[in-house]
Amino acid sequence: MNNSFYIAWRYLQFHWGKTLLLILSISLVIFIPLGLNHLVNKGSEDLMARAEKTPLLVGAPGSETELSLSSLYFNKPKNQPVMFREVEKIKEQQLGKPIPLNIEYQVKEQPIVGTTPDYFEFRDLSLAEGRKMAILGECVLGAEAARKLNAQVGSSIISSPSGAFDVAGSFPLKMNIVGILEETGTSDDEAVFTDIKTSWVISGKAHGHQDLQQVENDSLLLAKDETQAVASPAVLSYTEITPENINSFHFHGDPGDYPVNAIIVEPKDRKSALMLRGRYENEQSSVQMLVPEKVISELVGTMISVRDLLILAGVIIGIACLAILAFVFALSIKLRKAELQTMKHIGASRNFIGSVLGLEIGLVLLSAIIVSGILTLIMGNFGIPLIEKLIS
Amino acid sequence: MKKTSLILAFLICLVACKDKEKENNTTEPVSEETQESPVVYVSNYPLYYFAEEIGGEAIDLRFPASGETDPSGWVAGAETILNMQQADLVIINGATFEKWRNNVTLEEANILNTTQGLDDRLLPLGEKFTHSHGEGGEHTHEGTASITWLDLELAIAQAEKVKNAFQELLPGKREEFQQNFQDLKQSLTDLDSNYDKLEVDPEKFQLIYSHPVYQYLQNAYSLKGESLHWEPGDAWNKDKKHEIEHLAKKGKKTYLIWEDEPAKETKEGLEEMGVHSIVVNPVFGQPENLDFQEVIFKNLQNLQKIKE
Repeated sequence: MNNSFYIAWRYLQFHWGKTLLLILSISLVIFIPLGLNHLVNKGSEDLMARAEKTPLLVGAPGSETELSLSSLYFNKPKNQPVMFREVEKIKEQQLGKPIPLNIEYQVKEQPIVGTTPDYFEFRDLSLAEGRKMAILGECVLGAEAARKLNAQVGSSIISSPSGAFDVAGSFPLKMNIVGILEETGTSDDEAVFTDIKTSWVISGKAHGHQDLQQVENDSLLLAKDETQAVASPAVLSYTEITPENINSFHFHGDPGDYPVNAIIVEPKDRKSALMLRGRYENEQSSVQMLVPEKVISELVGTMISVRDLLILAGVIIGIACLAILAFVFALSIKLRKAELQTMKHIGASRNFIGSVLGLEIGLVLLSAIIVSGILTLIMGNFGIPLIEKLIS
Repeated sequence: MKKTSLILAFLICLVACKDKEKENNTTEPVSEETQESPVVYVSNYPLYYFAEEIGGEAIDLRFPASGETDPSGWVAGAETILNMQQADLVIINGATFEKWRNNVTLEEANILNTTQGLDDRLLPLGEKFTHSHGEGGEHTHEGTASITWLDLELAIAQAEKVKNAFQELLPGKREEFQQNFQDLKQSLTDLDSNYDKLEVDPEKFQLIYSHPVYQYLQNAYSLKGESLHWEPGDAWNKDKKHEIEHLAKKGKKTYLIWEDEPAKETKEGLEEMGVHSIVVNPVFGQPENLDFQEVIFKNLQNLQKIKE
């Protein structure tokens, strides 16, 4: 047995190119259905886990999938925002705790999530260093966001314009980093959390500027009396909130009209959840309430159907590949007729020759199984973040 | 050697036990206090006074803006806000008094707005301020008058909300809080009826206010008058003289109501013009040596001089 293993090994070593090609082809045939199955199962579990932890979601009418994915994964919302008064309305009903999310803006590639301190409690997020935000203009970073932005507690980051043509639409606000969260392995790691009011400052709904009643410079004022000051466009809003200018920040209009991209609702109990859903269904207003678990489970259902089809295709391709492989091995034996004859002439028995050939095939198959296992493991570790990135 | 080691071990044990005993003695009262005294923050002095009168020692009362002359313009520090986030209750005046409220992160559930639900009794600031800048276009700052406690009926309503919140926090002290509130209500009602007795005939007297902060006082006790934007420390000058000449009506005795004692020069200048100065402290910040009711009583005494 040792001799036949040695000859088989030496043969494969000598024809390393052919051997490598065979191993790779077989491992891919095994890996495609196996890896796909693993990936979809793991992805579905992760998607469902975050959705299951988000009981109810309120947003503008439109695609339920878009609303769920943007609220769970903080990708740029495509649905219209709802008004902040919806948050007050839910609060007044006393059936659950509303947590507003404003996810319109970014710092480079990282989403800014304007919310309330309740979000940290709701997602069970704890701080790795620093503290929670307390003052307008402060932010807390997810672990991954801190790494990508190369930011530390005590430093600052600047919000980016919301689009290429929005140079003057939103305010590039310098925000102070006061805390960094523990890594959670979820999309919270990627986010820049700030108070919802700070996100309104970025959007320009709230701003701070010089006290126009105190302005002496005539070039900044077009007209002024006791009750009215018409300032020239030269009076610009502050782009950084400091203790010196913080009290000059003010909100225009009714904050109830301010935008909120989504509202997570944490109902008191099952009955409260049903009552809330019933009220929103009956109202048929300009907002919708949905159960993310239901929406994501439909999405996962579609993913599983596609997976099943792909696995079936993979299995059929695999069977065809194995038939081709059998043919390749048979041809190879034919091509090696002279070599096998020589082995017979120098005294090798028929069984010995058979065991050499069998071991050659066995070693190739075993190597291919090991390679496909490694590929599946790699896919399990790095494939999900890749898919989440693709989704967002 | 063995004996020495045993004695040493005994001494270490003794010291350790004493330390532990000491530690227990120091931690016990703290835990008792935290168990029994809910932490309550207030945003201005009148609320501090009401909370202290109603809650007494049962409440761990904190007034972070106590050092400010005008707590409405308090600039909140991050550490204080973090402590406020942990508090059992944050009592605010509302009616746009807390200019800092939009600048901080506080959980709404812990906030008691003492003027919430009293919207129909709130008054406008009486001033619109319109401005435009940048690319944003023109917009108006129209505020609500916030010195609500100068109308003592409103002050009682605010105190009642404080009482209700305390009763929810500590149901075991319900009766005590109710009694304390009744006592406070009684003295404020007495003061209110004395204010009601102020009869300032607008045909005979003209009132001018140094600042537009007396809207509730004017409205509740028929003490109407026009408002200036003068500070008690301002120097007397031509512009001020001109303003008074412009405002003062002939045939009426004119009184200028100040937030604090005006500068001597200003007071004399006004007297020369026949305008008498009266101090009505709006109780923005914590008064020195006096409490809320004493200041309100002193204000009443000063206003009674109008009739003299």
